[in-house]
Amino acid sequence: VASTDLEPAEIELFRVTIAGQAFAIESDLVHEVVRTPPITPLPGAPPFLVGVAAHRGLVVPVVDLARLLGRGQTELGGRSRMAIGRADGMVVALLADEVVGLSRFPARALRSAPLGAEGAEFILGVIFEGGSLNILDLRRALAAARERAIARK
Amino acid sequence: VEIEPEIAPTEVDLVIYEARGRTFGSGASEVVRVARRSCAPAHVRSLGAAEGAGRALVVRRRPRPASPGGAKAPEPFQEVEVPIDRLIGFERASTRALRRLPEFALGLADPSVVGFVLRGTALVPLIDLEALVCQDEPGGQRETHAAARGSDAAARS
Repeated sequence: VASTDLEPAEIELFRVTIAGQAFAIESDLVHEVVRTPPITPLPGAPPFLVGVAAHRGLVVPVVDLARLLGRGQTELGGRSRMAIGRADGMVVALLADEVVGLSRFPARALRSAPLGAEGAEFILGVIFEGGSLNILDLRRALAAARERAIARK
Repeated sequence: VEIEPEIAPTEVDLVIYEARGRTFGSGASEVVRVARRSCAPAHVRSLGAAEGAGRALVVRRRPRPASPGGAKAPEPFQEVEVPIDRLIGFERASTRALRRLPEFALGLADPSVVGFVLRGTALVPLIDLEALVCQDEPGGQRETHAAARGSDAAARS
């Protein structure tokens, strides 16, 4: 029997808006979306780690995706939502201007990130369908920001 | 003779205070007394208490160990002020309300932040006051960390 190593026909992505631009995160990294609870700032933390929040009895670090990508900062409002994700075994809450939700795209719409583009090191690929949608390499972006912040200490 | 099993404490005594509009907590046993802030400049990096902070938590700074040759005796305990805006009070909290620093934040937050206590739905950072007051002294926690990084690098080379 021949190998059936087929590419999936569709990919599922979690869509957010960061600094007015459409981004997506691999859907398996996002577990749930919740109304943003009160955030407790952490003394000495780098700007992208805006604080911690209580979620289901746990303390979760809250990361501002706009600050993480060097695109200003997310303004929190009464209707703000945050996505609870998991990267490299660590639970992280993600803040964005808008949490759009899950969407499916044909796999053939996926293109590799343009070389040399701003922030391309953290872009896994781009979907061109009614505009461009950057797929964020969340694991890499978080790990790089964390390493840089620790090195600065 | 029956040996009683060691019983883990189920409650902890905390001092809760405010510095620049934020609430913090610390182990009550770390605080020698709460005093009116002296005119002398604070020797420690504060938690962000306003310049006009009228009160201070008085903490004992652990003496530095004697020099390796043993010629010099260890220094006595030194009392250090941690300026605060307002003392909220002393509280007894269940250990079930205590939370660790999340793994992602380890190494990112100030090393004096050791965890949190849940007060209702609010998370209050718990500050190790001794670590806080040791940070600015020569050979304190920050320098020790830097030295450790240096020795790690030396070990790798």
